[in-house]
Amino acid sequence: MALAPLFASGASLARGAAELERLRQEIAWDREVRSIVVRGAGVFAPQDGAEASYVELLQSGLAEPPTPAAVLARFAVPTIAAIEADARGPGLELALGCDLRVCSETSRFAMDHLTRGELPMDGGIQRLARLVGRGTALSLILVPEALDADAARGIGLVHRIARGENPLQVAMALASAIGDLAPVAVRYTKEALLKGMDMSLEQGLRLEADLYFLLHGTSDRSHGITAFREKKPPEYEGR
Amino acid sequence: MPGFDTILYRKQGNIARITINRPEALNVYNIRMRDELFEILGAVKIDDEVRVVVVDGAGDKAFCAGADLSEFLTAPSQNEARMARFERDVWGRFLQLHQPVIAALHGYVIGSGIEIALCCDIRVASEDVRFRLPEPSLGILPAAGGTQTLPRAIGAGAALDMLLTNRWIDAAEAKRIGLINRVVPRVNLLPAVHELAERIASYDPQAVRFAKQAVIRGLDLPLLQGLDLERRLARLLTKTHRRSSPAPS
Repeated sequence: MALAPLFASGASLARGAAELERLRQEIAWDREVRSIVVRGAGVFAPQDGAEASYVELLQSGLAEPPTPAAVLARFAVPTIAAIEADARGPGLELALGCDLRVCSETSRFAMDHLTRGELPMDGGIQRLARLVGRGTALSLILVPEALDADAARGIGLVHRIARGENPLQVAMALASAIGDLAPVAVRYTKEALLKGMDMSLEQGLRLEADLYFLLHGTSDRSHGITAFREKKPPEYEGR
Repeated sequence: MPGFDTILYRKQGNIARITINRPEALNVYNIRMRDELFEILGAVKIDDEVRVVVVDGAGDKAFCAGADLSEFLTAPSQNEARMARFERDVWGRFLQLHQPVIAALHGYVIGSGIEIALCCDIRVASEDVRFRLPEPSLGILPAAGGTQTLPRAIGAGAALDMLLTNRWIDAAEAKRIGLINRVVPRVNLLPAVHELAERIASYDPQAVRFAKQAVIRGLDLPLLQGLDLERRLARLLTKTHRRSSPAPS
């Protein structure tokens, strides 16, 4: 999925988010789509002033306008950000809306809204703190130095650094590995994990068990277990 | 305790040791093991002599290589399977032990094996340890708490990176992402775990239980309530001490 430039104005932001939402709804019913790689020229490293598009959108009088990172975070299938250059500001927020992040050896990361007198406005503070812990998140937001790729991997912000190939290839390889897994189990894994992190452990365990037993009704489950016993590669249909 | 087929249970002083004991089958978890673990964990929980629990796997090859897939697809129905999960809630029992639990991990730690390790509080592994979560590749989910305990231990990003890629994780990566706390050479695994257990067992048992309770329950609470819980437990502990020490002369 290649994203068009999003941050030119409030209108382009609203249009981008609405297009993403249409796509999300379409994919929700599409058994063939097993994961999504998200990229876009410069989309993770917008020009200064990108925050202004959020301000414009939030002041536009629309009730709860959808924003791109918020929509990305609602996809049922795993999402992988292929960060080919840098990720900063609202662009980093967009990458944080994805489940996995791949970058290049020279990518740099900055949550640098404060240097422009702005705040993250698309979930960046919440998602960053949940991902890297509150201490590290606070320091990245309050002292917005750029992190290199290795430092970003060290704190868990990035999952793979593409060395000697481009991030898109690495992201596609990850997507292909996900494509070999049972599709409903993958969606439920993501749901149990992300929803469960917002619950008490006890509630999360209940959610996990309920989804696990819902899977008992899928034919993929019997295919998977039978294929394993017969030492054959399974073929999943998403049913 | 007599009569167990799939686990061994021993008490040495204040340290209880539960050994997963199906080495001929890489210690894979089966229904029998569920019932035996359920029984022993119930007994350990109310045994005040036990101050620390150690969980390890018998044999050279594996701590536990997952669940016994030969028993899958045998449940009488989806609903009865679900009921059994909650009526024989071995994972709930595991997670609710008052005593600290230390996992001694070696060789293959796959699927349910990782989930058993994640029911423990401290994970020590030998250099040859190999982790993998194959569930989504089999059309199932981890259902021994793994989708909840794993992200709480290593974060959602790293957890998805393990769960959605079905790849092997070695000791170095496991240490880097926080899946294990310590790595030691294989010959040192049990001595290192025993030393750790002895050290914990030497501390005031009530303080140890409260510390575990404050951390585990506190993680489920908003910070302010977690701080309240900590203060309540600290006060309770000083009262307990006053009662048990001789009156000042």
